[in-house]
Amino acid sequence: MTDLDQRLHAADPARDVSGYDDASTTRLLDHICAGDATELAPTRRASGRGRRWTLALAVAGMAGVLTLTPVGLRLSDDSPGGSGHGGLAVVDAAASAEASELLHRAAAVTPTDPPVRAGQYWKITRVARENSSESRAVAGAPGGFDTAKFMVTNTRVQYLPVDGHGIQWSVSRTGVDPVHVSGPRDWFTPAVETDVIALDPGPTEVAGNWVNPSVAFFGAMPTEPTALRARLYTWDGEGDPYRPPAEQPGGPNTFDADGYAFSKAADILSDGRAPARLRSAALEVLRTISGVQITDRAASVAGQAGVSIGRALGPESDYRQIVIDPTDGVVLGERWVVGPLNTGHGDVAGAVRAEVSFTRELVDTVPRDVRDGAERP
Amino acid sequence: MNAPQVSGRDRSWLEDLFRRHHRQIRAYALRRVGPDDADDIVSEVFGTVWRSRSHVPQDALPWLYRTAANHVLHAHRGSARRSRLAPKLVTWVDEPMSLDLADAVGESLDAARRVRRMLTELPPDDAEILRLSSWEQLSPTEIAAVLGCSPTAARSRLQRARRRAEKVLHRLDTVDEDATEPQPTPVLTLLEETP
Repeated sequence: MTDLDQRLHAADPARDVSGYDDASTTRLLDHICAGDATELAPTRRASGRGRRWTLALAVAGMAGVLTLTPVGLRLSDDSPGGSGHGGLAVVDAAASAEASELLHRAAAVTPTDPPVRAGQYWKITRVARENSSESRAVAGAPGGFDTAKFMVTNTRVQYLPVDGHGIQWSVSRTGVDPVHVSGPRDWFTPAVETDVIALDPGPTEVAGNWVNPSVAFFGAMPTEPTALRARLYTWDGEGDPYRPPAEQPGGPNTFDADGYAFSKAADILSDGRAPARLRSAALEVLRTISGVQITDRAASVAGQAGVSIGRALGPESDYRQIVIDPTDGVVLGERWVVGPLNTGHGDVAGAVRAEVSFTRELVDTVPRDVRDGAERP
Repeated sequence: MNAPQVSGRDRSWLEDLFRRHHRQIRAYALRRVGPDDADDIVSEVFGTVWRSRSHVPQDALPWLYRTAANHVLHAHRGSARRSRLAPKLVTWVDEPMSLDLADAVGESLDAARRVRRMLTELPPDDAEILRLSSWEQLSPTEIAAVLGCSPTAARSRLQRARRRAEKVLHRLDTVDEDATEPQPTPVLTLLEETP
């Protein structure tokens, strides 16, 4: 847990809040159930055009899903296209055979990080096309609110000192190229916002966690696939939102161990700060996770075509997908696709909720306009 | 009157949902409207659940938070409709909670006050995403469901909010504090209507 997390916890005005007793609970439920028992009807329904669009997206999103039965794989160090780690021994629960093969190839071609020297920076560029929304109260709407959604492009460029010391720089630009998706069009006033920030201490001095990862956090991860798999299936405590049943705030109904492990592996692949050897190991781990499969043979991220491999993150959840170029195994980025049971308020099954690409390169300097324009603590 | 049943979602379903989640929704409300109105928010949220029960997802918690956010917004607007809320829930299992737990220790009070002041100085959407992450303990995916944005956007916004929070805290730590207690945390302007 970081200092910020500790301070926020200490200042939580409701950290010791208690529940209602049985008598109070019964009294309130009596009141609710005896009151307005008429269920609200939705206030807005999709137009005919909207329904066709919904169906088209649903078909497009789901058509590529293969329902291959997980097979008993026994991959070994001498599997074709060995990654350098050796393949994991996978016997029962595992990705589909086709997804596994593509993941193994991607692990094998993950480039090693080049040698670095003091004074250089990792320049990590993340480009996301994702939704932004505005919700407002609407009497009679389910839940009492409606939502307008737009797709926007958010870009972040980070310059992280390779030696972990000194200032890290971040340039983010959000709200670019808004396109209306659903809901009342006039509710949303997109605004382009640019932040240039300089932060010290350097990245390795920040311990990090799954919510707020850092170079040090990823640097401390095991890069041997079996050890990494064990780590991804283990709850890290505070700072790890992928909680086991006993720690779930809402009870165990949202728990999906494989979905959480998949999320963590995808976090490693999509962050840009993870070293190459860790990314390669994460791809190997994905092969061992039940339910991972080819989800779309014609996926694209940032205009680059690839094959997506993914799984639902839990019951009624979205699909998270890693997009890989099938010709060379290079990971192009990731996508989030609305799951069939996670629709509503403008979200239609099969629609791409977000697509993210990232690049990681070594540079000698931070541009002068970034240095000069940055806010400093 | 007896409520019609919607696909098995009867009173026992509501009661189960209430018992699993009411404490979290009460904590959420208390953090945003204070103890006087928190119980009203709980009543409103589960009343909405009952009336909209066929729309409530199986994984209901993010939906509950989002509905609570809407009712918090109404509460801040001082709507008169709150007068018809449920009977006050005054019987507690434990001792009533003190809003300012840090009162007993001056140093803790300073620290807590500084954090609350930081939250008031941040842009409201930054403060809200920090609360959802740290106080409600939601993952970026759950935060996305509550805020109606994509998980990647939630993650980006959370990281940006954390950077800004650290900056503000750093400044507050290094300057003399204004002893004035900040006003209650701002309304969720994420959900606020534009003037």
